Amino acid sequence: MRILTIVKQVPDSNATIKIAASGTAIETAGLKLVMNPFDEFAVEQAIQLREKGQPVEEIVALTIGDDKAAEILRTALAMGADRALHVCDPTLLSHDEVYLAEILALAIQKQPQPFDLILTGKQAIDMDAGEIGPALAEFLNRPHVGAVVGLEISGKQLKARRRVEGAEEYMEVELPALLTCEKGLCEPRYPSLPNLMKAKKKPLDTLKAADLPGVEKISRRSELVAMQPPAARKGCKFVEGEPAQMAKELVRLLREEAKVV
Amino acid sequence: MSPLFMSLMLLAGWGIFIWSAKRRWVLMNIGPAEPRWDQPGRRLALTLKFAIGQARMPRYGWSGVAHILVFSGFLVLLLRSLILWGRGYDASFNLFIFGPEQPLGMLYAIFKDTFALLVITGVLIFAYYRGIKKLPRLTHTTEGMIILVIIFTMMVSDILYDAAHMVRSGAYHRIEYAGYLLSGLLKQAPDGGLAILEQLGFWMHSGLVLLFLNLLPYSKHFHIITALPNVFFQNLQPVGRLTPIHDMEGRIEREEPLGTSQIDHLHWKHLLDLYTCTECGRCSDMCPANRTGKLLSPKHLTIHLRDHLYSHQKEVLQLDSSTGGDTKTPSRLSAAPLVSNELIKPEVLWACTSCRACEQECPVFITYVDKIVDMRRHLVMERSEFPEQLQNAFRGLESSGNPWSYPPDSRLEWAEGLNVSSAAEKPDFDILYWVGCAPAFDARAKQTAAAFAKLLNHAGINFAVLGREETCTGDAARRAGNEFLFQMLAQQNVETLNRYQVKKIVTTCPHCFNTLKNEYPDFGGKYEVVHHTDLLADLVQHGKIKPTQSIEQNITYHDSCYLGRYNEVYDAPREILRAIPGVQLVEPELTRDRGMCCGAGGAQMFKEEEHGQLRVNQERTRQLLKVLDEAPQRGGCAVATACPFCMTMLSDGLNDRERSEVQQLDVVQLLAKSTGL
Ligand code: SF4
Ligand code: SF4
Repeated sequence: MRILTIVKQVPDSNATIKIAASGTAIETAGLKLVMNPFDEFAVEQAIQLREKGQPVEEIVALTIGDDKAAEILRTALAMGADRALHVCDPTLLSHDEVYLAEILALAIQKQPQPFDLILTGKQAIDMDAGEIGPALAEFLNRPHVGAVVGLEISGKQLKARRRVEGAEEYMEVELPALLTCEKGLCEPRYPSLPNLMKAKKKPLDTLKAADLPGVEKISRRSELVAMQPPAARKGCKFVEGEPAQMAKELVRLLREEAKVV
Repeated sequence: MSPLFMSLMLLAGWGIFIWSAKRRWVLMNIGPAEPRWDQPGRRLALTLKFAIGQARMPRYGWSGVAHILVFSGFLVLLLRSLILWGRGYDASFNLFIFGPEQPLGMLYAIFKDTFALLVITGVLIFAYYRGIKKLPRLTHTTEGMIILVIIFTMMVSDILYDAAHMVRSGAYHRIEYAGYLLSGLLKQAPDGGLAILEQLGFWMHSGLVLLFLNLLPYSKHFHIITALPNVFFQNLQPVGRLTPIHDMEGRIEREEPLGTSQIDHLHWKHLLDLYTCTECGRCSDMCPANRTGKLLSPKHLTIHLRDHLYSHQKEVLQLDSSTGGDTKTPSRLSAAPLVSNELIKPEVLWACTSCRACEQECPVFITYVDKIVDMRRHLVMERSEFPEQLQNAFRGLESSGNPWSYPPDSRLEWAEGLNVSSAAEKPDFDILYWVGCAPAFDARAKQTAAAFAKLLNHAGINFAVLGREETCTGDAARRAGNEFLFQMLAQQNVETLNRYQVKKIVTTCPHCFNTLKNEYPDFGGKYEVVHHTDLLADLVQHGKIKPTQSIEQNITYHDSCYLGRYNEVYDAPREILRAIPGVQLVEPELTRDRGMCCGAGGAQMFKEEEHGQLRVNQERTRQLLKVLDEAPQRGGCAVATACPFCMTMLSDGLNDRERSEVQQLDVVQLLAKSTGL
């Protein structure tokens, strides 16, 4: 079995996000960037399949992004992926995930051998679009199960578990397939130091637009036009005084200011 | 006597002993090199004080006294054994100058008999603790009792020999008073019986010494020989400094270990520690993990390592001795890994709070924290196996420079409106206030930082902080075994501090204090580092801060391990508290260098406590409440701390015990209050 994991570099969830002067991007200077946490589940799951005895010949990590995005490929390699692919070309960047998915599909089809299983996060925590998985499955014409929290493979059969309101669903698909991963699937590992070092020596290939003939025909379907910080939340108001007074004041405020009673 | 028999006995006794000792010697040298010859003068002085002078013994009460008796008796009676061996060849042998009529001999005779009696007293005290009181800290084996019987018999047989000899030869030396007194009882005995007694006493003594000698390398009494070098070669670096692993990347390339995973990763001094353990159990008695029912018992850790070493002796000795002591090769042993469910369980290592109570208590200066951290290093960096919660801390440190992943931008929120400048804004500061992560982010510790800044401003100190340029010192990462992460943080911080040409640093956190002071010099960061209580005590003494408002409370001060045992700051916080009018300082039973840990150190703050009967902070809170409750009641009471982690732990402890009426404050908060700030 050959597994492909698709990963994305995103700002750390605790980072303070500022909008850049352009108004269509965020300030990246000094911003701490990490692997999208949902994609970490994908990488971890791939490695665990191998560790638990599935005949996994190769685990590949793929990303599309600028030069810095190579860092997360090294992380995936340190966790245990065998090699990495980096689609890295300034002409191919976009916020349009369907566009990106189409490029990824092209890059995947250019690989000498096909992948039996493609794993990626159910969404990236920066844009929260969640389109890459389903769109890519569509372009590659494979079955897709989204937001998976458990999976079992026997031979060509894959049984995926997902959580829905008040129940759990089990879906069966036949490989090759594409799954997106949800929190709960597994716990991503902390790479050991020797593995971090070894990752530096594993193959990481970069693909430019020129390496992907036909990519020029793919067009963007949407454009990011503006970003705005969310309106600042108003602070709480504390009512003070004697209990009876407070109750009166509270009712007055609810009536006159909040207009809810 | 019988020269032939004496020769045979000496030859066999010493021959076997030398054979055993040589095997132990080779075994000791299987690990990496470790230079310990620096500062020989200081080493000698420490050896004279603690090994020969037995300076730690009074700490242990009657069993310490008993040890002094037996130890000094052994020194004195060493000479006697030599004389007796000589008498195997010549019945009048007295080492030339120790004859009973010669002045030195007369002096020695008094000494010898006195110390023989003292040894007997010591042995009886030991026997009482072992046999009657059955002190739980001891390992109760027959070996312990046999050794006591041997020592006792050696003493008695010597006196018996003297007495029988006097009666038979008619040469009564009153100066050998023990023998002389006994001879009075033997006068009526028939000569045949006396001859037997004389022979028996003589051969028992001279033979038992050899038997005893041969038991040493195979028992906990090996310390009689190894304690001296173990004290001499003790670590002279600051106790708060862990040894850095240099060139980690290179080590990985060359497949050298990053931590301890095999017994031959321990260097010779660590192995000498194992030889030297007396199994007295004082370490475990003081260990907070052991006291609260965790799997960790430092004594048993040592014993398990030692037994493992001995049980692989054959295998080790077969290794090509020409490569012995080679640090470069990975473990040459095929032995089972040290950290495993069969030998040293991971939860044993993860229970340690790195409080050093064990090391402070050990009579023979055995170290634990370094060994435990070395095994954690292996687990974290090589096996990536550690308590799950630590991963959050590691990731936070990597991405945000603090273990809780707070945005670095919010590092100065505590200082709003307090007139605190950053080093970038005020480069001509005299002293840098290193805030630390807890005082920067933790709601309660923030108040400590604020109170401290107010006091500094009040006293007119020209200080600055690093603000968002500060990141965690890496103490917790290092003690959790993540040396790689620690070094990343250390290098970054040293670079920032050197960029601002910092000379003097004050901290409100003992962990930051210890790391900056004792560990950053290894990474090119050399500063004068003071703890806030030291600085404040000084300001109070010089009248720059005048606590005038009365606080009518009983206050007990909880010693932080990293301030007290690690850096010997015991008095400054107490001086501050005493300077506050109205404060009545009460001391808990376990205090100062015996103060019990709050449970947060050694990265425990960032993980769940290991399984036990009780949480460490609950036990410590119980002890502190006990002294507060027993003191005559006044306006109220408080637990004072000087460490943000202790603060969290003890206030949690007070909450658990539903004693929220007891206040829990940092010394600096109390001082600020009394100063009217
Ligand atoms: S350092 Fe403290 S917790 Fe660790 S073994 Fe020693 S006494 Fe126990
Ligand atoms: S390590 Fe020290 S304190 Fe602990 S049992 Fe051994 S000799 Fe005693």
